[in-house]
Amino acid sequence: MAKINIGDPQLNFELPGVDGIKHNIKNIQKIKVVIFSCNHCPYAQAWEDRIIKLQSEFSKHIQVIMISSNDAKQFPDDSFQEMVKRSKEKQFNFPYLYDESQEIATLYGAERTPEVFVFDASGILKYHGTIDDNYENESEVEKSFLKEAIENIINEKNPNPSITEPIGCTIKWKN
Amino acid sequence: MNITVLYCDDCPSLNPSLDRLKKVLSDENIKEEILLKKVESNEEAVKLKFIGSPTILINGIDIDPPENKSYFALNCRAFKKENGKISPIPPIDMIRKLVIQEK
Repeated sequence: MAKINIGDPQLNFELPGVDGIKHNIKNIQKIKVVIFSCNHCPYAQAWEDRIIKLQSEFSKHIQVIMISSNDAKQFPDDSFQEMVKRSKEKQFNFPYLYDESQEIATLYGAERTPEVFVFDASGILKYHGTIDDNYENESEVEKSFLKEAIENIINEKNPNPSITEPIGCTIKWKN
Repeated sequence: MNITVLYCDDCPSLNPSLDRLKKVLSDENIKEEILLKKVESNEEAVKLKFIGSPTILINGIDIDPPENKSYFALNCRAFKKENGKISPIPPIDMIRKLVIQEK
């Protein structure tokens, strides 16, 4: 269960990215879309293209930060080297960070991949949950929860709903 | 016809996949029961060669035969759709193809 509630301030972190740079959420002045995800999970893969599209469409206002916290010992596809490959193959237009110690997933109380936390530009949590209501088929999406949350935050309104249920694989914790 | 579905609790894909399987069985007028087998640990996953949830076996044949590089673990299974996109739920035509073959 998430350890951060709507209205709470962002929990800062600094993590290494596939670009070889350490990224610190504190330094981002835009709306921050923090997504716990990974390489191997089919739910994460199903939504990847939509995340890329959102970053592209709202690049003026948002910064997506994708984090993988999975244990790469159990799931070799989620190793840092594989993350670098995936990011290149899919041409991720956002930082893809490795939470090897799983400290940040634990801090946030994230449980699924993908699981989204959206903070406004001042760093207050405004939305937590899933991306939309159809992981299988983008053309059949009826509720674009994340997109609508972003639009609301840009317009200085509170997202409604502000919480949805994250749907996906479980984060793969170390034994 | 022997119909077995291996699954694990870590993954939400079981029920939507079962809905598709039941639809195919109903369309094909097949009345056999679906045997559900829960995989409880990574050790059991290795033993059962379980590459993810759900694994649908018709007469012991996987609806989507795994690649050699697959590894066995408690996990959601990825299925490739005809358009090349990945889905956590098996496409209905993938299920139907093997059910008709084994009918």
